[in-house]
Amino acid sequence: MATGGPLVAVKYLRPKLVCSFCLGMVLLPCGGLRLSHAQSTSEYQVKAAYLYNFAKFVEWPAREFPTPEAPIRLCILNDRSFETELSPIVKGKTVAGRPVSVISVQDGEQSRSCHILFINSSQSARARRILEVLRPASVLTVGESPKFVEEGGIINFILQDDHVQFQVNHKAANGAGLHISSRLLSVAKLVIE
Amino acid sequence: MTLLAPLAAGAKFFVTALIATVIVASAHAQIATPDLSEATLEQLGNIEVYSASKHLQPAGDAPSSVTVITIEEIQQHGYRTLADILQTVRGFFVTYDRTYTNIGVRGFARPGDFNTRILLLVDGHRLNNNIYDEAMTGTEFPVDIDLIQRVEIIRGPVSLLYGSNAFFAVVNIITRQSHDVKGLELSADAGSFNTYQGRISYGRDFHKLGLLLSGTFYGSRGHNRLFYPEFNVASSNNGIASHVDDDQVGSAVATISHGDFRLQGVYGTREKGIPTASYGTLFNNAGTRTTDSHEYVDLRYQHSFADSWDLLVRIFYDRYTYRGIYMYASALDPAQISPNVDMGDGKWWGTEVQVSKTVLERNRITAGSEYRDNLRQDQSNYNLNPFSLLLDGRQKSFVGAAYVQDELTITHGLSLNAGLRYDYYNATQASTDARIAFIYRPWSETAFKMMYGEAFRVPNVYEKYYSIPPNLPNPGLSPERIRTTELVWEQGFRNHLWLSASAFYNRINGLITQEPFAGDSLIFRNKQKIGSAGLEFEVRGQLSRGLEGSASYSVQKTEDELSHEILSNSPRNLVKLGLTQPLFNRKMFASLNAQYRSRMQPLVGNSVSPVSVVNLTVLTHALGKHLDLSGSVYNLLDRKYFDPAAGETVQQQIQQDGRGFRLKMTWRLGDR
Repeated sequence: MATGGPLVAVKYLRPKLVCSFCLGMVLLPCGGLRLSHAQSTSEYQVKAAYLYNFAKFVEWPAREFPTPEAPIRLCILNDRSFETELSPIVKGKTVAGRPVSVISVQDGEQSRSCHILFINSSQSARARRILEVLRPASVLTVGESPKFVEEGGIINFILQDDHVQFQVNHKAANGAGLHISSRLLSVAKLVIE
Repeated sequence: MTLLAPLAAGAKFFVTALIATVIVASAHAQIATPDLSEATLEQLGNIEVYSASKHLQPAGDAPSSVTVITIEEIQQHGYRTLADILQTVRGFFVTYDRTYTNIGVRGFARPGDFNTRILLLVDGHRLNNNIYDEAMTGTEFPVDIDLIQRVEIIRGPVSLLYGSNAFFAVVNIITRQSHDVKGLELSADAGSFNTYQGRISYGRDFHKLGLLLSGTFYGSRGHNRLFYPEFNVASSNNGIASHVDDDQVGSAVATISHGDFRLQGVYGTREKGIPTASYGTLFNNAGTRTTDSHEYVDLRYQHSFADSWDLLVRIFYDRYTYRGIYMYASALDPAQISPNVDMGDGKWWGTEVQVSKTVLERNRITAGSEYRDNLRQDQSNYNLNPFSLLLDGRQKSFVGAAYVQDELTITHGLSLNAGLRYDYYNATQASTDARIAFIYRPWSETAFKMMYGEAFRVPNVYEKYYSIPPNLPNPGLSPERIRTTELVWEQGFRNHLWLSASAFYNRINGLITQEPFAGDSLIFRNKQKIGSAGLEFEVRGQLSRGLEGSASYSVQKTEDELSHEILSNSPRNLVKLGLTQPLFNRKMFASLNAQYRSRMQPLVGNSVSPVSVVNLTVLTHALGKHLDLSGSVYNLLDRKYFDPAAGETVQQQIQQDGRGFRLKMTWRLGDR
């Protein structure tokens, strides 16, 4: 005992068993990968593509555009990294002859001039107040928090079994003077009338 | 070894069967990802995604420095207990005396108390019990780690919203809901020191009704031999504590939700053999052990009304019991054993109401009140051979509190958060606490926070009335108080990087601390002024689809302002590192975490050497996420290290575990 060596390091699990288990785990996904070419995609790449699609299936009141070529203003609230996902998707694209521009905003006041406003989950605590500020304006509000549509938001992303789906508050859309096409409504997982 | 033969055969079978199944399954259809900008609505809905790690998005609007740990990190890093999670958090450190686990925060871990200065919540329900104020974070934590959806750690004094115990930090555990489990989930693991765990969970949504049921058993035989040189004499087995480190846990959770109502029942019990011969008990006697049980029901109603009203109402009933059996040599005949039984028995119910509303566009007002009635706070102690009652302390008390807070938007990017709270205790002094915070966000990814907060902790009945030698009671104890000033800078960078820097100064008045008294006795007293100052830095980052991780460094100095002595159990430097590398298209993750804790001075004796521990886990999702397999190595480098002991053991330092392993499998038998 004079050496004071540790007596506690009793190892019950045989190294061989551990090794074969680990090897098994390494091989598993290899097999899957080679045979399938499955591409996994980030949640926010898909959400970015949805936002571009929403622009195609929503009609704003004519007064929201000063000229026929005026861009559709797609705003992102306090989320620079999402902007970098969104910009390449809408780059060079037009919707009904209008270009789409991505704009960064920081609060409700700045968002009044947006056509679409995306509020990510880290901003959800502020969502309610921003929705109140925007209520009379024709802004398509898009969120991703559980209570977003209940709080008066128009479209809310939900994650179902690793697939991005969305809910629509049709009543709020009508209140904001936005016309949502039936095609968009038919794909929505939930429509609040 | 014989126990492991079936396990080995089973593991081999599983691996073979799995490889075959995965090859067959993956040969079937996989949707090719279309060019996202050309994808139709229907195609977008069919793309399988991985969710981004939310921890990279700073809680920039919170008037505190916040850390969030998600279920993904818990699985990827193979954390076994809540203490394993907290060990990795900036400014936190964990010590274990082979009975209870203690959490230190920002230089504070008082010997002899039981995590009384952090408030532990499960879905907002207070877990600190009403006898010892103890936040249980080791295997004694009553919720299975697999049921945690996320852990939110809020630093600084948060008494404003939570009252007593929210002194250094609040740790809120958010549990998984019925729709997070969806179907049947089975989990089994086996680890070093003959440790086994099994869990069965079932979650389902029936229209509006959500149901989650889960039960867990955990058993660990512990170390076969633990050597304590302090007992190295023939009469105490040459210092070898043999087969006295066992640990058994049973726990269950049931959650029913319907609309805005949620009813949750939690039950957890743990029995632990004490190998350290604490409190002068006989060395190497398997009879010395403690059992802690906590059960509660909590009914919550949460509703958002039109006109920006939010309402939260909660009513709960809790029961906590502790029973310790301690084996002593009989004073009359040393050859005989005289067991001593030490008990704590707590019962309480309470209710909370919180409303918030936006007024005059710029103000979000939150007001609330709570009431807690401690129906029973009993402590007893008796000897069995011969029977003699040594303590029969019966206490009751209640607390009522009210608070109001305003979140005011001053101009673009600048907001003020201020509040006031009053707590009335029938058994001790009332407390009034204030908090004020300015949050300035000049740009979207930048936040500056300037915060001042006050908090308190009332003395608990253990500190006031426990009178078994060497403890002396002190019913005259007053609440201890803390004032914290903190500056925080949080900065996001485009390239998926987030940085936080924080400077804090804590001033504590009347710290309740255990001290030697009149020779051999110990007494809790309000100690005068303690000052503590420190800096913390943290960086979190994620490369696109690649490596993600975090690193933090904390430095602090905590001293008695009168004697200028550094407080015991207060490591000056802490370093944390966590890295996860996704492999094979995020079907597999290799994660490494490491912690360093600098030298610290225990209550008595030599200083505790610096500690660095590295843990490694490999996790695989297989069968379309129906099966998770993970393998972990804890203390990978097999470092020999010690944690400081409190006054109850002869040992001044307690040796910790060397290298250990765990293999874990989780099956999900539901639609994914």
